[in-house]
Amino acid sequence: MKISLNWICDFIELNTDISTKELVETITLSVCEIEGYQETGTHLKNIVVAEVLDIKPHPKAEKLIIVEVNIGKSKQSVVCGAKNFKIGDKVPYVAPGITLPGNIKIEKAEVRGMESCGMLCAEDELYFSDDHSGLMLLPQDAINGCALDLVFPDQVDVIMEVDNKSITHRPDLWGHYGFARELGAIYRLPVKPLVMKSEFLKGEGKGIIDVDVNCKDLVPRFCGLSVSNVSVTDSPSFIQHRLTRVGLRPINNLVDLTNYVMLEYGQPMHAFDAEEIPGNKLTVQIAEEGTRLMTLYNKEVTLGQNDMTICDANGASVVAGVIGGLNSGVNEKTTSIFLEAANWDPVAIRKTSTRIGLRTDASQRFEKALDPEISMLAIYKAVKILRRVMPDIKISGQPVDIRGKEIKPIRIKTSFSFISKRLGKNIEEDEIRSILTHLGFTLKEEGNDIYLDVPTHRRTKDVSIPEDIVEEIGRIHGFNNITPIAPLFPIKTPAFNLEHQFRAMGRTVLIKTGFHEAYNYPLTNQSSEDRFSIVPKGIMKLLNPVADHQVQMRTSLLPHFVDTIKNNQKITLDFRVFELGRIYYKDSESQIKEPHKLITGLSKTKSSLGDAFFQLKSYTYNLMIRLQIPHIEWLPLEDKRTEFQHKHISAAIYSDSQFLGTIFSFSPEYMDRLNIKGDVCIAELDFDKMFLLEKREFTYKEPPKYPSTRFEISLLVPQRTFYETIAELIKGVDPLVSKVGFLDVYFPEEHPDKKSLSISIEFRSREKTLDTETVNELQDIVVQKLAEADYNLR
Amino acid sequence: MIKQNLNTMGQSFQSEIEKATNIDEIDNIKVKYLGKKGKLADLMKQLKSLDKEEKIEIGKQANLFKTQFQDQIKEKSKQLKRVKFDQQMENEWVDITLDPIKTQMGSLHPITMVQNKLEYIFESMGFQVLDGPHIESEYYNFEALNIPTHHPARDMQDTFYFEDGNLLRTQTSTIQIRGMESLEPPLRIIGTGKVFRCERTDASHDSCFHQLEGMMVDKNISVAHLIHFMKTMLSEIFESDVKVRLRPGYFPFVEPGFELDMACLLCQGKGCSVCSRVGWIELLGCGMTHPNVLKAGGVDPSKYSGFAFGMGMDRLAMMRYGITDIRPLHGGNLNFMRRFTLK
Repeated sequence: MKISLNWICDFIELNTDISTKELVETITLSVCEIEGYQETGTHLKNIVVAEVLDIKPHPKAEKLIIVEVNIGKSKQSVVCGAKNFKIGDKVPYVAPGITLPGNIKIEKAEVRGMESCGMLCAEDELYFSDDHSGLMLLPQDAINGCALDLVFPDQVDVIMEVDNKSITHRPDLWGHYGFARELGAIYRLPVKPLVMKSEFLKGEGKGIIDVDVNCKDLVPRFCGLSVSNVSVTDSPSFIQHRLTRVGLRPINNLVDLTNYVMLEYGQPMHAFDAEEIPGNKLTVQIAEEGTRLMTLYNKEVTLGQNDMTICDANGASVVAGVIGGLNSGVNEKTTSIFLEAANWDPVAIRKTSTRIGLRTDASQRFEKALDPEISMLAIYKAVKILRRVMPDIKISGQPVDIRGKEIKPIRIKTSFSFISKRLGKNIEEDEIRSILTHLGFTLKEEGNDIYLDVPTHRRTKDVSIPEDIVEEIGRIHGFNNITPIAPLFPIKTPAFNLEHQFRAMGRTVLIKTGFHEAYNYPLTNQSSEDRFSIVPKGIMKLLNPVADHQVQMRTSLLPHFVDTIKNNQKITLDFRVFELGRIYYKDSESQIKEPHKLITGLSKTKSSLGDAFFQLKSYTYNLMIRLQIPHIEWLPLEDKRTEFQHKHISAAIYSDSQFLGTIFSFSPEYMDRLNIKGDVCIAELDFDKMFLLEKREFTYKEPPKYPSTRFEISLLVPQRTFYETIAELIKGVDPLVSKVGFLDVYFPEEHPDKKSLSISIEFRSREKTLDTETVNELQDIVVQKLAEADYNLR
Repeated sequence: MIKQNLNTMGQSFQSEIEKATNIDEIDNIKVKYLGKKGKLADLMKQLKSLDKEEKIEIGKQANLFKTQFQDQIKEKSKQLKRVKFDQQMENEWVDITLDPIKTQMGSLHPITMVQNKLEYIFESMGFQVLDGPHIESEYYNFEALNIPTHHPARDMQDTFYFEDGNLLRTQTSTIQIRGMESLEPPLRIIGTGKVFRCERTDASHDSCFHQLEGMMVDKNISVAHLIHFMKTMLSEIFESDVKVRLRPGYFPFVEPGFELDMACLLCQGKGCSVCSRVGWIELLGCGMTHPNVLKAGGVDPSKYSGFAFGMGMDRLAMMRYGITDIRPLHGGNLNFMRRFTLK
């Protein structure tokens, strides 16, 4: 919303020492956010009134004319293309050497052989309007040579852009008067009070239009007045210029009038053509389901049982508080009007405006809960303006003033000490009194206690408790005038969030081994999940998704993660990524669960079979060891395997007997289906489960005192023998077997279904150095036990 | 005769050892003179034929030679070894500008980095880090936070609702209520995490983003405390002494409520292109906790007061790392993630 400083100054006399910058900053710091401002009309001091003395055709150009003008001190001759003026008219003149806004430099020039000294301007060139149809015609009483900023002093203005979001809670700030009131409080200056002479609105005879309000609980107030003997013309230039400056396009005197009053008081109005109201009666009522109405934007809307309308004998003619119907307003033939200024229920207006998808200047204001007390003041103001322009207007009958839902008075009990205590600064009592009085509050003091009556313009919404008063005092005093004070707290370490620390540790270990952390959206859709035949378990579906790919919560990290892998394979085949995030579902008891899962992925160019698997297994093992997970085991997936997982290149990860997750490559079919290249392995771990496990503790053990003896064997075993099976067997042979380690595997050509497995075995006693005899004996037993299991030496 | 041989031996040893240029020659000399079948041993064998006095004299002399030879050999070999190793080192050259092993470091997500840092700062100031569910009830997300039923924030255009009436939290402020419910004042808590809004995605908006929420509740907490704390906290986050200002701002869960601006770190408030010439950067919302919110959290507002603040971590991360588009924060594109590995 744009506001004009001159307009504000209609109500308050500000000290001229205050710079624009300072003023804007003051409003931002004490009232609401000013997003920017513009000083207008500064160029007008260089433009002067010129009287047209003579108009001659251009000898060489049919479309041009030569205009001789009197600019007070001298006469000038200007070549011009416009034709909307005659001798004796007064027009704006710019002398050579002057630069107009938009960096247009005026220079003495020759136009088709004729000298042109300066320029005569249209309205748009001087930022009065966007009219470029001809020269701007100045008032006849303007003195030749007089600078335009003196002719149009209101044009020299500051236009400020208010951030609408910063005044959603302030219904009183949706018109200029509200800002004057705020500045009055800030600078402790008087503000012209809003007063009304009610006899001024009393007319002759009976009103032309009757009004009935059927839904009074939604209409705090409805005011109206019939006015006849009006004619539709252009607004006075003063009104047109002001509206233009704050971004509204002038339409005609009556529409402009309602807009003008709205911008001044914040109260939206509507001017009906009183002769175009069938039945001469307006009824405010809830629309019938399916009511159709053509708005003045020429767009049909369908209304329902929660929408308020203003109806005449032919049905709904206005969507109450939002927009007028196509035929409800004034037109060029209008001679009598019914001015309406109502106060509508904010929630109802917001809902209607949302439902029909139309947010207007009116609905935007009504949904903030306007003060019903300004409705009649708005009508009064409108009539005052109207009468100034058209002294012959006639008011018919009495004003309509129907009150519905009452806005209850609010009295707040607080105290001077509470205000100071909550602000953390001692504010003088006199200052508190002065601020509140300027803001319109009425004070009654009893000792330290203050009883405050909240003014009507603040009681509809935002002021109701002592804390609200703290805010009023704080912002007008200036929050930035409060000296910061360190809060006093006992020295105490907080309870550390161990889960966060556990996850942070996991991430740190992973990035040290080359993994990049990815975030994927927790929202997904079913077809993405379906790719992995994820068993649907209590899927959380959104009621109001905004995009097709985000309609429900993910129940697995895998689907998006696979996309991450796939997309990154376009960049390189060699990378490692991970995501640590939540999945979401409802369990069998309808409890919503959000467990943290870790997914890691390793992609590489294909080399030997299982390469990616072994690498990722090693990184995963590293991670789990660092996270102190006890007794990690890797077992065939078997019945835990899902279709997309490779039958042999996959494993279930256990800690003791707790299943923690899986590590797998994709099945060849899925590699093809998902269009994944190279060698890829993925591991999924239940992070919350890992957190809850009883961790392995670091306990120090004396290094062995006696040396170990190591020997190596090579076995020729069937290809699909697990090393771990053999290792377990060897470990079980004798307690003196202290370590079994994998050395190497290779596939001898001469035994196509076998592999050669090299294993190192270490014997050690914690009591003595083993003698050769014992060692030999142990070796023999190992070999013998292996042979018994059909694992023979090569 | 033997005596003469001994002297000749001494001379030849001297000349040989002086001439020796590498360690192998020294080994040869050692064998030749001091070995079991070396010259000295030979000579000692001849001693048998001599008379007693001569035996003693020459024996003495020979022993003298032996220790002298040993010392000289030791000294010379030390000297030659040094020469040899120097030579070897001189010949061993590698191109240290190569990186053939390429151990790659991974990267943390920028939001994780910001979050870690914030949590670290707050924990060191005695704050407890809390967490809450992303799927929330209307109660925690709105009602308890003093957002009435008809408040625009509750509209379907802003909030993702589920079929069962629950919703995706639109703010981390839910953590305030959960924190007050589980802890007794005085309390200092923060919560970080994902929040969701029905936003169409563009360069600066996303349906899923990240917030940090903080709260302090004790007896007599005032606006002056809030300002002090914000200044301290932001100075820690931005690692410089920041200037802040408060403006009135409206959030239903605080009263009074503020928008907090920080003086642009680049121009110190003078106005530059980074702060859109305003000099100030709008950073976060904060305020004194509304009595209704305290009540909802089970805290007596007549005894306690508090302040709360919330800020977007995405924006913080974007400011800190110079990210101009919010969208790559999701999806895990390597070209994006690799930027967060310092190379």
